Amino acid sequence: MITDAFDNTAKEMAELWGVPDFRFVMIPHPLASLSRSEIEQRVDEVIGKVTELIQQGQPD
Amino acid sequence: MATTPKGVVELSQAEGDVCIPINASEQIEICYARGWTDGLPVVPATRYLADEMLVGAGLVRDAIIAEMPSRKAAITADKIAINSVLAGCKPEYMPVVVAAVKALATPEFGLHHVAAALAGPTIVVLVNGPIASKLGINATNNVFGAGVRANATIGRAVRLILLNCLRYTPGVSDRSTMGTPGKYTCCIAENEQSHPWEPWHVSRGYSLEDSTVTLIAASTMIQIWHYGDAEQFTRSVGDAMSFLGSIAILGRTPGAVVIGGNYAVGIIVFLILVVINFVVVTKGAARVSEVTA
Repeated sequence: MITDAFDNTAKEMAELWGVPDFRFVMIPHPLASLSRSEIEQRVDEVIGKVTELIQQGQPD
Repeated sequence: MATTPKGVVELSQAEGDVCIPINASEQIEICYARGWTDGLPVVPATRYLADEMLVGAGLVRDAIIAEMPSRKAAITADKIAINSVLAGCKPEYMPVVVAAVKALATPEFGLHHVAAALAGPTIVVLVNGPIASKLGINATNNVFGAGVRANATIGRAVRLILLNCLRYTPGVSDRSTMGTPGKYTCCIAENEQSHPWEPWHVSRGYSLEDSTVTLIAASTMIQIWHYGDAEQFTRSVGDAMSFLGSIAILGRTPGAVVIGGNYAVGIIVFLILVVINFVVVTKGAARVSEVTA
């Protein structure tokens, strides 16, 4: 899981590790300034995508 | 080896990415074309110059100095030597650059956070101990500024290694929003004779005779002027470290205070909590001579 400020970084890391099609969940940036309730809201927004990714797995 | 139409001879990638400077300006342009620079011209790295660097550090080409699994990188002595040539270092600077690379790779430093973060901190290379004066690393006037080869090139070598060996490319893996000029180079020494306190490396458990390198990830640098007493000075420092928007407030991270002269105080604010010490040479003058022989 990454924040959208680091989308290029994540793609570069995936290529570096030889898995260019690695799937990840992307959420809005930033995180550090969020309150507890805002973090919980983010979790609610993203949990579906996380679950779906875990169930689908990564490309072969 | 292949000869280009302009008569410039290039070595193959397998031979370590070094150039033969038939025409220096064309070789500099080749270095730009290959993406080996920080935006400024570099010194084309010949095999001879790189080998001189290795002699300066007492290392063989394929010695692995640091491994960074997250970047799938093992940094060899040769890569450090090549980048030190590119930066304009002298061979005797190599032990400092090598120690800095070792420090970069320690898990406690958290290099990926430092190198990739939006805050884009400078990596300050602080040198303590006898090697600082031996190499002529500036510790006095204009300590963070331009003009002294050792300061300019040691810090630059560290940055070039991040760019060329670890591929922290601006906009891709280096996500600094603003960055800082210190990302070109930032290397200073402590003027250990000029103040009544114990030197930084001694406070960290080393002896006066040890030479050390400390890396500091610094997101902001503030210079303040102060003419009052000690209490007023402390208030000024605290106020400068706690400005609105300071990363130190957001992240509750510490700062470092660099005190220079009677009238000016420079402050470095840490991005991250951890400061890494790394010993350049261990224990005394005898070991220094071993490394530099």
